[in-house]
Order: sequence, then C-alpha cells, then structure tokens
Amino acid sequence: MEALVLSVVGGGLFLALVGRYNTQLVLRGWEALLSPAAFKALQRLEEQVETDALLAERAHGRAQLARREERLADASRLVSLAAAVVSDAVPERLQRLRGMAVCCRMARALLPPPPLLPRAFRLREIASLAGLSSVIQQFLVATQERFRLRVWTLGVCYLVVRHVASHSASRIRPEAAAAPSPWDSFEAALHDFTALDREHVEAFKALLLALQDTSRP
Amino acid sequence: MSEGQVFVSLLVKLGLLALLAGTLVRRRHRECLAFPAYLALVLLGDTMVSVWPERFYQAWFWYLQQSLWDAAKLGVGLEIAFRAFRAFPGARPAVQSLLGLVLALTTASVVSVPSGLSHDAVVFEWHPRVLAGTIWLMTALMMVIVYYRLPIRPFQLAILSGFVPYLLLFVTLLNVLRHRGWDVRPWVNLADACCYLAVVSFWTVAAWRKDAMPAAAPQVIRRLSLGPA
Repeated sequence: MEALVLSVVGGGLFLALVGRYNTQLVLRGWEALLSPAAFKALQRLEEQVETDALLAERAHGRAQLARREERLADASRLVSLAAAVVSDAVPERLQRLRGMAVCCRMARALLPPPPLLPRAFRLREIASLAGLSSVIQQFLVATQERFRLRVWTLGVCYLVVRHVASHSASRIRPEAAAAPSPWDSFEAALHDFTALDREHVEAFKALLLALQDTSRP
Repeated sequence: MSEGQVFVSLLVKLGLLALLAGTLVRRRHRECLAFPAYLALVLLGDTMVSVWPERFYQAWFWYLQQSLWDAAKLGVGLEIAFRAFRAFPGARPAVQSLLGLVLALTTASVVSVPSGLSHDAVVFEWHPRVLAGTIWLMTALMMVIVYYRLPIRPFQLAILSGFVPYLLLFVTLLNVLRHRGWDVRPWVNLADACCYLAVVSFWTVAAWRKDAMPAAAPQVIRRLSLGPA
C-alpha cells in the first residue's frame, strides 16, 4: 500500500512538472542569454545608467547653482527634476533585478560576488542594509544564494533611494530652499543611486559572464 | 493466456519493432543507449513467453524478466540524467545528491523485505517498491531539470513521460490484483498490455518524429550540447 501511495505522489508530481516544462520556452530563454544580443543589452544598460546619472547630476548641479544665487523657485524645480529622474529609473531597475534573480538559477558557476561595502554609500539606511547583507553573505555557502541576496539587497536599496530622493525634493520648497538638511539628504540619495547603478550593472555583467561560461567543456 | 491477451501482446510486439526501428533509423539510440537495450529485453522476453508459453509463462521467468526490465528502467533514468546534466556541471551535484538519495531509499526499502518470500510477497510487496523507486528517480530528475530550467531533448522527455504514468498504472493494477485476488489476473494482464501498447505507440510517434529539437541558434545548441546526436 505504501508503494502505491508513494507512486501516486511521485507520479502526480512528475506529471505536474512535465506540464510546467516547455522545451521551446526553455531553449528560447537560453538563446536570449547566450547570444551576442545579451552583451549588446549590457552595453545599452551601461549607456542608460550613465545617461540617467548625468541627467540627475546635471539637474542637481543647476539646482545648487540656483540655490547659491538665491533663485529658490528654480532650485526647487530643478531638484524635483533630479528626483524625478531617480523615481522614473527605479521601477525599470527593479524589474531587471527580478529577472536576474530568476536567471541566476540557470547559471552554472556564478563568480562569488564581493559583498556590498557600506562605505560606498552615504545614506545611513543603505549603508546599514549593505553592512547587514555582507554579514548574512558570510553565512551563505552557495554562490547562487549569495547572488540572490545581492539582487534582493539592491532592490530594497533602490526603493530606499527613491523614497529619500522624493521626500527630500518635496521638502526643498522655494520658501525653505536655503535650509541645508534636505539638500544634504538629496545629495546623498543621488550619490547612492549612482553607486547602486554601478553595482547593478556589475551584477548583470557577472550573470552574463557566468551564463557564457555555462556548458563550456 | 486469453485470445484478447494474445492479440494485444502481438500488437505490442509489432509496436516494439516499429519503435526499435524508429530509434535506430532516427539515431535516437545516441540520446539514450539504455532505452533500445530495454526495448530489446522486453521484446525478447515477450516473444519467448508467446512462442513457448508452457516453458516461459512461469513464475521464475516472470521474476527474471521483471528484474532485468527494472534494472534497464533504472539505467534509462540514470543515463538520461547523465546526458542531460553533462553540459551543466553546476547543476550536477544537485541531481547526484537527489538521485543518490532516491536510490539509497529504494535499496533500503527493497532490502527491508524479509528473505524467503512467497510468490505473492514478491509480486505485491517487493516489486511495487522497486517500481515506486523508479518513479521517484525519474521525478527527482525532472524536478532538477525544471528547477534549473535546463533544456532536455524531446525524445528523452518522451521516454520519461511514457515510463512514469505507465509505472504508476502498473503499480495500481498490482494493487487491484492483490485486493481482488488472482481470479482477475486475465483482466489485469489485459489492462496492463493495453496500457503498455498505448505507451509504446506514444514512444513510436516520438521516435519517428523528424523535427525533434526546437529551432535555436547553432552556437546555443552547441554550447548546451544539444547538437545532432
């Protein structure tokens, strides 16, 4: 009787798995990851990240200039513009990080990612998250788990940066634009956004390299 | 054997011949060598029983052929695992551990049956455990394939997809026989032969199909070791 129960459970599980499996889709996924198009995507991502950083920094620089010249309405408008660049960029980054978390299963031997360094970030929340993540990483053995932790941490950090940038930008009003605190936190958020973008591109690159290495004899 | 049973058995043998021919003509034997070996064993055993029933339609021969078939089925599962994971060394430890665990548990379960078994104990206790182990071996293999999203050849998938439901039906039929008694044996044998005929037909279609591998870029096919067998 036990054999029958075990067979029914095993057979049922097998049929459920076969129902989920689609050779065509699986192969298409591998093709997308192993083809030269994936490296073109990396190039496009690097360009996009640079453009976003440039836009945000340029708007922030102009806002600082306007602030020094006491054109506070302009300063507030420009800083909102810089915050909008960060807010618009984050959903797309989060979507890519989610995709990377799935793809990392397919990689044979991801290079063990170095831990995120707290000192690379200026916002206290992000530095703490990076510190915590690097501590947890010491307890994870599998490279894949480390990679997934890194992807998850980056995702949470992006959300924090977006929140801080939007919040600080909303506090910089023409009537109070000379007050230093929101400017400082906005500047820190912008700095961390650029640092996170670097880490996110590096993670994407590591994933692609690992996938390229997959199945090499 | 009843006439119906003889007729279905003849159809199974013809199906097996068509399947073996398809396997060789389409060079599917390069995708799993143990599979044509298993088919040859089944064809040989069935033919011997059909041609010399008074000599081979006996319990001892049933034990012998079932043991050989079980070993061949396990060999098919292990060979597909070896071939599917050859190109993916990172996923190999997972499949090795899982298959090792299934094999160890199956062995422990088979060994735990007391020695000096009666015929009923062999048929209803010992054999279903081996079959359950084979089902779990193939399920474990499929679990790792789905988890890592690994590509597998359609014919290899067809082999696994044919074996597991058939083995499940076979274990169920053995259970029916156990509860209803040996009087229903002709019906159980007939039902088993019909199920096996369906599986052989499914495998035959898969073996003769021309477009076996979905289209993908040649360098991807090469890297995933899915090139022409």
